[in-house]
Amino acid sequence: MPRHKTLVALPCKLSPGAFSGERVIDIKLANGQIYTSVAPRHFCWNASGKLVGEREPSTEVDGMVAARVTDEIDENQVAVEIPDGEVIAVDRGLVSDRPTPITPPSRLISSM
Amino acid sequence: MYLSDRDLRFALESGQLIVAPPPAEIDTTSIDLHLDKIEEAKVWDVIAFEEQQREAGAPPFLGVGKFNHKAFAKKFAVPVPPEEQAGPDAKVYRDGTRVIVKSGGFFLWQTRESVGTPEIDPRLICFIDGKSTRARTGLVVHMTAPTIHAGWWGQVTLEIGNLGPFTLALCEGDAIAQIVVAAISSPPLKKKKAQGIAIGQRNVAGGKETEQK
Repeated sequence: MPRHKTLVALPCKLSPGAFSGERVIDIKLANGQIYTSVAPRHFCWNASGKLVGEREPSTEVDGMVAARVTDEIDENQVAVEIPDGEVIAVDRGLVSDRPTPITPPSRLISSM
Repeated sequence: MYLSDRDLRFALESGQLIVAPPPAEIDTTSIDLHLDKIEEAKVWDVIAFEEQQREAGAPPFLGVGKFNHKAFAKKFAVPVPPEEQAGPDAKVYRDGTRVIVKSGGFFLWQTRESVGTPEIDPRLICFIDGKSTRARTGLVVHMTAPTIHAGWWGQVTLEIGNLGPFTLALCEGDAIAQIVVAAISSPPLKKKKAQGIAIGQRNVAGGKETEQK
């Protein structure tokens, strides 16, 4: 698990969402259950570690989703916040560095 | 404390508030959000859902507590159909570049803008709201889940309904929603496990598993 970092990635199954800007994510919880939700596309990576493209994936694939470590539960588990705002408990071994940084859109604003 | 136009501008310039593409103007305490491409307008295929339920020998209603994002996104969220393909009882259909919403109609449409706050040290929280002038037509927008959690950003899915007596027409680019932005009093702790509501715990005090939400 990355040290001194709260910005991490979690393995997940990625599926198309209902909208171009979202993807469905399946994450394995520490208790073995699967948590399903949606995440903005720009918080999801494909299996190659690239942020998913506009038409990617077309079916369910392995991928990763952005998360933030919020708490150390014990030696085996951490609590992470995922892009739907929920905090979930996952096995520590699943948490890894992000394949790429996620950069917010430009700070520029239109001439008003 | 809600941000005024000058604070909204400062928040955008400093990167504490994300609105992309950037707004053309800022209202006194809000920023307009616009409807995305018409292809992003979706309706639920209720007939397909009911057929699936019938084939499975299940009752024709949706158990909200077991709502499955994946199944519904894949199977039942479909583009708003053109008028000629919509059934005679359809309350939402596409007429060229417009989505027509009859009284009682409901559908989903993504915003053009990505909205939210940065992951690192977020100090603001955003709320989606309708616009009062549009509301008088009976148009409801994003009634139930208006909060964009601090530290995330993305396009917003608007749940749009027509509770009024008129048939309404909506077009790509229409400003039918807005965000208001508030400062949070301190960074969130997000230590939900202490409150026993983190999901999937197995080794917390008492050894009690928390059920999946």
